[in-house]
Amino acid sequence: MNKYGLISLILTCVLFFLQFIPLGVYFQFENPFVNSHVRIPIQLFTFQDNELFIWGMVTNGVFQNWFEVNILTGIFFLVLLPLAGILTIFGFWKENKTGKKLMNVNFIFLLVILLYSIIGIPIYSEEILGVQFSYFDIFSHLNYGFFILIINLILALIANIKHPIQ
Amino acid sequence: MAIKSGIFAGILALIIAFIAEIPIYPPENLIMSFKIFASENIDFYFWGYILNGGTIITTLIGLIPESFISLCIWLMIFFIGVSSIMASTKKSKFNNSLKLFKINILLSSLILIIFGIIIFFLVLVNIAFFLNVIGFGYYFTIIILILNLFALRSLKKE
Repeated sequence: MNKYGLISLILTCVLFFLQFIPLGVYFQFENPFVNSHVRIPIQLFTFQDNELFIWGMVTNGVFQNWFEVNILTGIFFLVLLPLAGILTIFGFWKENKTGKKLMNVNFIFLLVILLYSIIGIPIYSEEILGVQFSYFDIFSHLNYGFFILIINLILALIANIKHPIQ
Repeated sequence: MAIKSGIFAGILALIIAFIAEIPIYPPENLIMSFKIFASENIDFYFWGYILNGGTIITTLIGLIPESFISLCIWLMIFFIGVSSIMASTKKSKFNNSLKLFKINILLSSLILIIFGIIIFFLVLVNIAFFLNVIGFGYYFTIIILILNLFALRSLKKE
């Protein structure tokens, strides 16, 4: 079992399924049953009232998935990331060459997603945010999700290099 | 064979890293709070603190360097949780597990010493308040340390 691959998979799931990381979780007998005191935001970028997640965008409390906003971004984020996650599920478990190949694909997909987020988002910023970004503007709007994506990419690289083959 | 004490220590560490409280007996409003210590209506947890049972403040998502120490302590307890479980699995390598358990023991001792010093200065005037101040988070950290010691011993025996 590739432990780094497993951690990469967990981070992928966090980015894809969650809106925030709950800390100080508590249980109450009303709706919602599970609540949390602290919420660590995991959006990739924040620009004014727009929060850009891997799964979509939140503008003034209105949720939209990427296919509603920009199809190309949807393909990169909403297709590649779950695909990377699914391949990692099979890859981290198999201790053979196929598993290593799958971990390699996971790394490449994450790299493509990261590159798209810093190159593609500024290119399509007019369509997504209504403001045209220049090349390096995006770096002044980074949020925790972006750093989680970088950590995920580093772990995917280590998982690829250290994949056990029996 | 999987080391049960290591896995249990890991689960405990992850619980105190993420969870504030769990209900024990809801009709009587009996809850188990995982605070490390409480002082002057402030409950201190690994992830932040609660003022007067209402206002929640966390320094984890503050600016560095203000948040650095609290972030380090939270990452320490999170690392102890993950690494205890990883070092206790069947397929883990002996040398790696040995190193991880030693690091876990070191980190949990460090956490206990840091909070121990804070608690010591809080109860300096009246040492009888010691048990009133300490919460389950601190006791659980002690249990995590003991479980990691047991896990290290059983690993060496194997």
